[in-house]
Amino acid sequence: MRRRITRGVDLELDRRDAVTRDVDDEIAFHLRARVEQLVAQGYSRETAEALAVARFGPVEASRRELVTSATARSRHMHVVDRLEALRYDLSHSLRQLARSRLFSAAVIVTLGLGIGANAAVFGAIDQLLLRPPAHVVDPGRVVTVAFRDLHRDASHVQRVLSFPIYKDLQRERGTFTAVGISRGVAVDRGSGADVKPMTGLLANAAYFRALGTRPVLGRFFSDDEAGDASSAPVTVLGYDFWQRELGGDTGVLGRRLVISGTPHTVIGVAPEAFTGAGLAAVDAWLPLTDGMSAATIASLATQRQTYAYSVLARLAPGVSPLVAAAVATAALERGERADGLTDAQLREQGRNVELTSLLPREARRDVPEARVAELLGAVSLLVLLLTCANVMNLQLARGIRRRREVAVRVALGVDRARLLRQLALDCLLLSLLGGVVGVFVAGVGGRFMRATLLDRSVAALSSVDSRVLAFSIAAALFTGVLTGLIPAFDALRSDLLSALKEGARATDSARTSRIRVALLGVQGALTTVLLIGTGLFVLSLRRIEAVPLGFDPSHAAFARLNTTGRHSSPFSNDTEEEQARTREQFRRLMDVARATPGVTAAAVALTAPFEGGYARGIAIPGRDSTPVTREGGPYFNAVSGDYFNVIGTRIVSGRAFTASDQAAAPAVLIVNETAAALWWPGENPVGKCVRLGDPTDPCATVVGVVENTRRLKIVEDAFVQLFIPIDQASQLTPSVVLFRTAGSVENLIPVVQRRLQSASAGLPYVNVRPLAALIAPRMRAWTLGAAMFGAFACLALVLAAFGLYSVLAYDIAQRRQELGIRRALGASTGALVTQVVRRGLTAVGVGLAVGVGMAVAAHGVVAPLLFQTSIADVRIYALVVPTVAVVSLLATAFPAWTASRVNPSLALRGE
Amino acid sequence: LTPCSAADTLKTLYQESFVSSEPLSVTKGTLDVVVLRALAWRDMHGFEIVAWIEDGTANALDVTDAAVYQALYRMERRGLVKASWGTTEHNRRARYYRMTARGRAHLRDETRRWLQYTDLVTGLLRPAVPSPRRR
Repeated sequence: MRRRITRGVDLELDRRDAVTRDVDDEIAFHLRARVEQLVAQGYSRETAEALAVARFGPVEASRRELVTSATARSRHMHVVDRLEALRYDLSHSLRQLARSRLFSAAVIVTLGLGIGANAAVFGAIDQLLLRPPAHVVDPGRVVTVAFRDLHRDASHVQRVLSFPIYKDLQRERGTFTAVGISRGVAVDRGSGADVKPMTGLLANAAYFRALGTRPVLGRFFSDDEAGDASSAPVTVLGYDFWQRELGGDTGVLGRRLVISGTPHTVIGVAPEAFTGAGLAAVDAWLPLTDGMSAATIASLATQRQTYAYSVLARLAPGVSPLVAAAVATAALERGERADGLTDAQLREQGRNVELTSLLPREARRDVPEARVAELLGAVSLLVLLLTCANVMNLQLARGIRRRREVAVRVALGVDRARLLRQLALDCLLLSLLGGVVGVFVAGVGGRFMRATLLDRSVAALSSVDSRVLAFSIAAALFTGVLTGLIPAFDALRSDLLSALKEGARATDSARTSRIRVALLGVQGALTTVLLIGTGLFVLSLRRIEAVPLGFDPSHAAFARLNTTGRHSSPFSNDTEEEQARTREQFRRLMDVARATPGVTAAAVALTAPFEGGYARGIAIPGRDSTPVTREGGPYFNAVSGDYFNVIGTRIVSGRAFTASDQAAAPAVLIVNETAAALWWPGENPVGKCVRLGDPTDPCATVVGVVENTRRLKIVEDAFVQLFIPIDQASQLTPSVVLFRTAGSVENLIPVVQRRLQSASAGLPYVNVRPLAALIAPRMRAWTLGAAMFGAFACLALVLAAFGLYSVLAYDIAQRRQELGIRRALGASTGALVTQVVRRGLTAVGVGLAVGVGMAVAAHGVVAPLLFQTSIADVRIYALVVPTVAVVSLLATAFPAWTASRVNPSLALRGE
Repeated sequence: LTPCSAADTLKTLYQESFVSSEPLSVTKGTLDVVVLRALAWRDMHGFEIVAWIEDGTANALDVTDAAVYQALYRMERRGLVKASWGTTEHNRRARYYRMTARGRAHLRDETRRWLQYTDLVTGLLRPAVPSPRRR
């Protein structure tokens, strides 16, 4: 930098010197001419000199003025000259591009694909990993709360918390300026036949204060509306919902919207793309206690073990996250002690609060999609490198053809720096045009990627924003420099004389040829890496699909229903009559589903697999504590008799629930295999006693054991689960209707939907979904990995094949004469073809080997994302090696065919 | 818009900013036109131009030689004239000035304006009827 400044100053001084000399010379000439004129008129030399100076005016002042003027002009001319040169170079570059249209198109499309793929991936990574949640002020100071029971299971982090925990934290005003609590709910809007589902988020007023978000219209909740007491129903609409359903009407404030059967007054509209602390879109924000009865609200504070809420908080100024976590841990302990836990029990669990800021690098570290996105970033970079290798190869091939032109220009005295600039400009122009194509590719690819990778509210935003655009430009410049450097130096280093002599027949120099073959090897290696990655992910996906779920989703469907107009919660605190009414309604709906032709069985339950679960404390006689696995629990579900039949879970021993397991009948329960093995190892669990709740509660007898089912994830550790008959579940009401079909479940869903909807007047929208729909999102990381790797590998394969083809085709065109002579001398077709393709295929072969090596070396990076799949799996190579071989042979086939058809006489006459 | 025309536009803009930043006073402007008129004849060096003005006005115009050079440099910056070193008939090194196309256009416009101006002022100043009082 300093050197450049010095150089700039030097140039300026040089320029001033030259200008001053010119001015002095001109004045001197003028004075001399004037003196001669005056002398010729008869003046003496002395007088003439004095007169000349007098006529001229103040010499020194004029001189200074002229120098200043001339310096300014000279500086100005310098800029004009540079612009002129640039104009010339640009038009020359454009002419070059237009002349070799095929070459230009190939380079631009290749670069466009490479840059576009990278820009699309960057866009997704940007939103997943780089950008904090929208409209959150200073997200580094907002923390989400979770805890870990260090002495029970240190590896399990409990992120879903209970209401009393929120109250404990709320008391620490010195540490947290605002403590927000929220819970996602499925709600619906409208009434009668017009009911439509929508996503809601229950939150308190401090939730928005903690995030620092301001609404675009109206206001968020006040503490009265969204505190711990019930109030008039209000709602704040999501921006997207407001635009989509209400046409962005600014007069929406004060309007009443029927949400889950109750009219809600709209008091505000959230800003665009605001999704709170998460990534999921929200249609309507509702006060935390929305739809809760006074009794339910009053009971919230007593339900320490009911984990249903997310809690976040803004740290007070000057409080470090570590200190805040310590304060929160102490606050929780105080709360638990106040709720009756003994010191011994507290010690035993060793609960420790963990705070994670909303900064994406912290908050989304463990999201599988984010991990996949990171990997995709690396993969797309490989594709970009491959693109560069390809373009470089094309450039080199063209460089050979242009060698004569370059030589002529050098011979004509164009200086090498200027020539280099010209060549660099060619590359830059190509790569920038490639960047333009890339932006279009990113627009299309990005939309697809966001739809699969991100939630729909994020997907609604434009996939090409200013950051993606900036990235594309940077990528284009990077590729321009990278692809232009070697060919440019190659062109300049070539031997002037021989280039001129060889003329249009210019052949590959040994060095250039080596570079080109090496580039082919690089392409082969990168393609191999990508193909192996694809193989790993495809195998993982197939293994995942084969994982036993403990139930069979293929012919089952379910509907989560809300018959009361309140947000579903297992602890509804409804009156006895209300609960009885709800049970009766669900029983009727179950009968309606079962009566549908094609339905083989139907059931009702508290919850369906993969829909989340509820944990509850229990006591086992003869044991001090209830052992659970690291997954927590024990989880429980309340189900009707046919439940296991409907979801396809096997009864391992004992029996399922029957119609005789009524409320008045003896209490019974069913446990899963893990619970049986953990609680009664080596014994028959059937007939054992479990107390649901406290040790003083009555016995419930185990009547059966069912196989383990998955709870939330496809890959998860075993957990303990118990089932109770829905009729014996006091305080609990069903919320899910499930049914099993004989034939295709998809065909029957609309039929059952209509029947359920018309079975009960005033029922909200009945959303019937196949059970498989709950599982697909859990497989997204692998599906995505396989799909994206596959797409990139295909792109790489096409690019590499194209590179191989172009190099060989070019070689043959260059060696036409030589091939013709060999043919005339009697060389067989086979020998000629071998000669041509050997070099290319050798390069690819070496690339293949190197690629396998690279994949093995990089295996550690992908391993955590794979499922029971190893790089050592032979099947991958059985897939990759033949693919590379076949594609390479196809790419060489046409050039080889051309070589075999070289006509000796024509080739020789050509010169 | 091709890159070439963009470069051209840039160049023009640059030059225009240069010109408009320096308003010319009337006398300076007049001298510029006179110098251009000299160059319309043929390419000249500075002293030839000064001599041409002195011959044409019989030395009656009070202009220093330096002012002529200032006019030349000013017009060179504006692209109205172009200078290059050459040799005189006495084999001396001298800086010759040539009028550019822009200079020619400038001369045409300024000459027309000057003639209009002097016609108007002359019309105003010349007495239409001889004054009786003087008689």
